[in-house]
Amino acid sequence: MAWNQKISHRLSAASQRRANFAAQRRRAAYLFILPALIVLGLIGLYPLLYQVYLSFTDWYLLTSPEPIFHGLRGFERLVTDPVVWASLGRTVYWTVGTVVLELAMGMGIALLLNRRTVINGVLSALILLPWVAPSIVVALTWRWLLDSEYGTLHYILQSLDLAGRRSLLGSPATALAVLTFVSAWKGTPFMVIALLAAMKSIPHELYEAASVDGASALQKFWYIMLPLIRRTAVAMSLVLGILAFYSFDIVWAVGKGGPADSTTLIGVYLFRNFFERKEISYAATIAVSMLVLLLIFSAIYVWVFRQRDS
Amino acid sequence: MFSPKTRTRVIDIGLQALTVVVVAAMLFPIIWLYLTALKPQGQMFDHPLAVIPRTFTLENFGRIWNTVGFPQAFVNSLMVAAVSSLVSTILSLLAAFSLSRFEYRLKNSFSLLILGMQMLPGIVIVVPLIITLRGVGLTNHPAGLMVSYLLLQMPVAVWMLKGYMDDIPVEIDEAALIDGANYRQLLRMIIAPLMLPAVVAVGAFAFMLAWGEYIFALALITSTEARTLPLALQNAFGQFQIDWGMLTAGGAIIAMPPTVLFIFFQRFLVSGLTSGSLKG
Amino acid sequence: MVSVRRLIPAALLVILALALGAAQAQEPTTVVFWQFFTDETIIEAYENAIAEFEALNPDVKVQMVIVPWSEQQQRLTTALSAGGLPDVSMLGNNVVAQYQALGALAPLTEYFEAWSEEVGSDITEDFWPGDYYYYLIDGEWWGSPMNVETRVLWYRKDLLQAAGFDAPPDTWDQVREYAIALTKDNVYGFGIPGAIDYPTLQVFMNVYLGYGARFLNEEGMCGFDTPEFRQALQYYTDLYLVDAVTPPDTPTYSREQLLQLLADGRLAMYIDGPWILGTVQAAEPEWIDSLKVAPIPAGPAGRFGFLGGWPLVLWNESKVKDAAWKWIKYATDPEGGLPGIAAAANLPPGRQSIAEQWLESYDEPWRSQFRVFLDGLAYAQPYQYPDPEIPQMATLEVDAVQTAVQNVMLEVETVDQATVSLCQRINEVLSR
Repeated sequence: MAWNQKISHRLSAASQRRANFAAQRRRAAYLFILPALIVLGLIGLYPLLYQVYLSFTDWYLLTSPEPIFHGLRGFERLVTDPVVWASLGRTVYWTVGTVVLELAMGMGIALLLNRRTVINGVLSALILLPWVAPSIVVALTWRWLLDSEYGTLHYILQSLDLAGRRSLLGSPATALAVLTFVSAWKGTPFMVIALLAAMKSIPHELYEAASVDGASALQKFWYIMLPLIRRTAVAMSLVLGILAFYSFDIVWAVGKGGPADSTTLIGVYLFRNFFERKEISYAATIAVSMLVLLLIFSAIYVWVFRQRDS
Repeated sequence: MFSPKTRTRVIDIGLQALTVVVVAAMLFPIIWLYLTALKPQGQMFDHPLAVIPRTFTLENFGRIWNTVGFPQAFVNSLMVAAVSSLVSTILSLLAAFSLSRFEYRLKNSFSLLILGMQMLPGIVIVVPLIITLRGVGLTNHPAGLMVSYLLLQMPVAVWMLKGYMDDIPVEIDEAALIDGANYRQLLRMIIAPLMLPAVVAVGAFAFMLAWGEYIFALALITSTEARTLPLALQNAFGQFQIDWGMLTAGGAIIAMPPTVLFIFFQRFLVSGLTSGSLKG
Repeated sequence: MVSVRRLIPAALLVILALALGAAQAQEPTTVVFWQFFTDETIIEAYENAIAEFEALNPDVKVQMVIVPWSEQQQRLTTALSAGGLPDVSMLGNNVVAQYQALGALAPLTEYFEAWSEEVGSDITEDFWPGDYYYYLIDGEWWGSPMNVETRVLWYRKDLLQAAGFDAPPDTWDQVREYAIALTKDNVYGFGIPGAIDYPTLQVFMNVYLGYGARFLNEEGMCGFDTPEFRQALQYYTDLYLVDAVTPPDTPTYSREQLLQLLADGRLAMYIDGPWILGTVQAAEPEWIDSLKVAPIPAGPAGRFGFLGGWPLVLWNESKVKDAAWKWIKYATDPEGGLPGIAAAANLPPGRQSIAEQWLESYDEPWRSQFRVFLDGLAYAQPYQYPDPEIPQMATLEVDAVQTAVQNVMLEVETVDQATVSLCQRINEVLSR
């Protein structure tokens, strides 16, 4: 039957085109991501694998010029090391504190800068300064500003009764909190820029339509802006959280983890082990454990927010 | 009472003033830094409230600029940051496109792999990174740094760009594809322009990451000619004492170029979507 | 029969090889030298010395690479684990033992012996006594001294006289007595560091050695668990906790802040090296003529100072050791490059024979004043005196003792608890 054959011929041709189309799509998908994967693979994969390898070895520079395999003993040592747990606790406090402050300050400043004026344009660029200033300079600047004899901020805080004779950075009780704020202060510009980009991507019509419906500014903010920048805020928080988790340069420059170890973060402990104690492999063990922790946490974080998205 | 127009104007001025005050408060430590850099050496720390210099001088800037290799470091930093941020933004845009617009088996693994790269702390990767780069002869060369910075910039860039891209409705894609565009054209002429604020934000982030990076530079760059600015700033640290004039001036110099560049680029950050493009 | 034509390419190859070989022989050997100062005066002095050296040794070229002091520790650690060590470098004096233990340095004993023969006397006798504890390890020499430095007690004669003291304090007890009387009118009697930083240990060691405490005991483990050390720690921390002769933030203060206070006229006494003079003079205080120096105070067990400084070392990985040694010899030779280089660093040279030249770089009144520094070099010692340097000192000097000091000052630990945990920390590192 000619027409039967013609139909099935045409049907299979259609499904053939669909199959071709699907294959084309798949090829395009891989093609677009390939360059990035190659670059990252070449540069990042070997260091990552080497780091994992190192974490299973013993490499104390003072006793051996080469790493020696010793299995899980590094991890045993890690788990029984009280400094690791204390640092981890502080790092969690630090990370959460930094991100929460960055969100709060970032949102506030981004909202203010969202109005398109010439001044706001300049301010949007100037707001970057804390982030682009070198960490060592930021650390030493804040240390002087809070110095009990010379610090401008300390003077002001003292007159407001918020600080005593000793610098806030010199007391174990307050040092970590203050440095967490400094860390957030440094990272806020990035949050501001990211949020601004998201805010600027909201089409005006949405606001106009809401105005027509009689919505107030607060309602516009809560029902239109917030949901649309939520994804950016969530993603940025993860990025900044990871950066904060590993940070150590500001803390190190201010007091090497002091006073009395009150600001010893896990990154500080890592640095100490690598450069001062010359325990190369223990540092790798710490790093790999941090990596695993972060991966698990990120996976959970992303999953939670993906659920809420849908 | 006041006409609506006057009231809006007052609110406008009020809000603008508030913005300036808030930003100024936020920037206070930076302002202190710049003012201190303008003080002569003997006056560095007079009195807590003596923030404004009694006499202004540019000698600190002159001194740090004239230290060994500082101007060259400036050029090196500029080059390394510009090239690496450009390359990583482009590559990340391509990768984000793949992750955002397509479904395929390995998608989740790739996604996790890329994000996972961000979780490598600089200090520990340094040793194997040096070994890798030495194999291709790129240690102590700006190109080696550029390549290393891709590792730092791309994971975050992909993550960010994918997020912004996901917010662009798929209908736009379909409209373009029906009109006969291929994927490259779709990305280049339609999606990317819509994402301009995001691309600017990501590019800025990448640039600044490379600009201020210290640890990789410390490990990879050994000769004075190839140094970047964070390394050159170490000139302010003597064996026994820190030269505050040079340190603050150096910090001020380092902070300026990205900010100045951004004044130019923030125009693109601010340009939002024009009406009609969505309805289209 | 071999045709001539076939021989030509072979002949060409032989000629080429000979030519290359000859070229190699004529090419100068390059010695890579890591230098830690970024100061222009010092860099210039080294460049001059290198030029002179290369003129005298045309077959050797010295390539100076500037690695700032603040980075050198990280750079060396990275180079040790990933490769890239230089042929010659400076090194912190008490860190020599660490790299020696790793086998990373080449011994200089034979070179020294040859040098002594040349000169006709033992060159090592020209070294300062404290340097023996830094560079003589396991019977061999590992560094050739370049510069040394020590600290003294800086004091404000006008303030002391106003409080009724005609002479500077000579013992630690007197320091305390003076300081208490001097702490008034916005001035602190005796500023001491307590931060987790090198100056804290460098000042405190004067005290603990003075009280008779020892870093190591006979078995080579922690020697601080003694009444003498406890006394020293008690004394030092009481200055802050009980006598309040030092600022409120002493537990986190290092040289930086104390020097600023001194320059502002807010400290009556302060221990540090000769280099602070420039900073104080830059502040142009009216009392500059009242600023004097005195020897480090003595304790019940004697008078001890801190010996700083640095040598040049030869790295074991170097493929050009003999050439590298020639450079080291010239640079540390009192008859060669040493006077110029040491003078540029504005610190005494590592050789007693030319020590006076350092004083000549100063005008009066400092020229006579600073003799106190030279006198101090005679009793300046390392932290672990009277034992030779240990490899782990590089790790221990960073924060082990300072943590104890800071913890007591912050009242996180008592003197007793701090001493016990200090020895725990030290022994943990020593037994690794």
